[in-house]
Amino acid sequence: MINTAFQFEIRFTKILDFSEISRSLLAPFVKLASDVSVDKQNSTEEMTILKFDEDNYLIMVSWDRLVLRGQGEIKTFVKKKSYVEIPFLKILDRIKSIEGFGNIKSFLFATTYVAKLDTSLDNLPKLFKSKIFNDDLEDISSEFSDYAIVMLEKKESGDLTEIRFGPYLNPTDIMNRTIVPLNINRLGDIEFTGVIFEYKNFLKSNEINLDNFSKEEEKSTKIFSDLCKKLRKK
Amino acid sequence: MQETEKKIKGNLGLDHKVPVFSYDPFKRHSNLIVKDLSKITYFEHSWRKNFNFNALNEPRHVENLRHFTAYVGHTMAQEEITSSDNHLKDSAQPTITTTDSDDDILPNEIESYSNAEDAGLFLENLFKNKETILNENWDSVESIQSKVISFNEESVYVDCLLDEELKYFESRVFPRKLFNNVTDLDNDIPILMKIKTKPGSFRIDIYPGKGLVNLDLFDLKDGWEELKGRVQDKKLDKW
Repeated sequence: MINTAFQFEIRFTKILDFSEISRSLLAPFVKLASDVSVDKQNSTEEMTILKFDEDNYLIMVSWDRLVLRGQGEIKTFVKKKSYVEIPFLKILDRIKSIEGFGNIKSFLFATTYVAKLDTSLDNLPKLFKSKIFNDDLEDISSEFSDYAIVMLEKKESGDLTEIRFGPYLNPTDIMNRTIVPLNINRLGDIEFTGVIFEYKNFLKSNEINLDNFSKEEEKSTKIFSDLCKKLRKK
Repeated sequence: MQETEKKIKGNLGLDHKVPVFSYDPFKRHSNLIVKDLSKITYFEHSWRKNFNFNALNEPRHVENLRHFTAYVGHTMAQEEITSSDNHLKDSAQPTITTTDSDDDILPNEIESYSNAEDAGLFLENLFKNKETILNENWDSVESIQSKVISFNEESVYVDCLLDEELKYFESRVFPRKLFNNVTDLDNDIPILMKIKTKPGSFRIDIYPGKGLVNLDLFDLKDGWEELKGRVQDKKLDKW
């Protein structure tokens, strides 16, 4: 099981003077980063990107959201004292201390996994058809060579959970997902056929801590493991 | 890349069949060196006059070099270059190319030292870029808030906050050299430590903690406040 990309995004009410204070706000964290860039400078939508190349993640900060994007060993992010706590949630603490800060509105957790299945490229769509669908699918059309399954749960509160999965044919599939890896070269061996799985959970919440991230990671991993078990079952 | 076999005489005068790479590995296909490092045991190239690789053709040297492949394989390079070939297969997909130009750095640096007469210089400059080619997978990564208690010429004594909720601290000692990047090293200054571990290896990075470490967490008065007004906070001078 390889985590090709994950994103933890905290959204808050817009901070109108963010571009004026962002530099002093983020200055202490720059020494931890391998690179810093600023997008849309001096506009209300200014975004600062702190890159942590060696650790395979980056942090984006803008006037309405704080984003952590990473790839690879997601398990090292869920523990106490991990990068989610320092620097990510530390930055959030500093943002919350801004005079013009309102409140946290919601958070989004999204991730993509791929896993190898012991089947050839030709048999992969058949495997999905037999395990997930049934033979009636042939009645619609037998010409298709790829499938995607989408499962959605949308609540009145606005919370949204979305799962997508299907055959993993080649690394191009990874780059066609909603969130892509920061550096696909660092994912290791991804030249195989198997299953690709996307998980997205958007939740309204006023409080954010490491638990939010850990629980989402655990939930997504469990669903994907169960799916792999089902597909591997003879 | 053409790979052929060649007979060479070893130290003991015996014939050995060895693979020969007929391309100039450092000049034109430098990235492949790293990809196929485990296979490359012998070189034959146009600039042998300037750089004596003949010695490497001897089996005993090859055996010696093999010991070091474990260290080389430790870097990102093998994986990185292997999968960079994927881009070549589908160059019409611009999004697959990396978001930064890390991959270019290694070959460019090798190019500039392709005529070097000193292999040491080549390696030295190669690993100057280790930050861009390393991709170690660590089992555990921790950012620990710390405070310097004292230091001398050899060591720095640090209070490390291991659990913020339980207020669990550990006093640890580190070599002074690790703190050379902290220009204003002094007692009571905050330090942020990044500690990465995996079986057989660990790494510590030290950062000045100003703005990152909350020094209030190190000020433990809680227990004493509770004892105020009770006998326990007074000296036992009658004993």
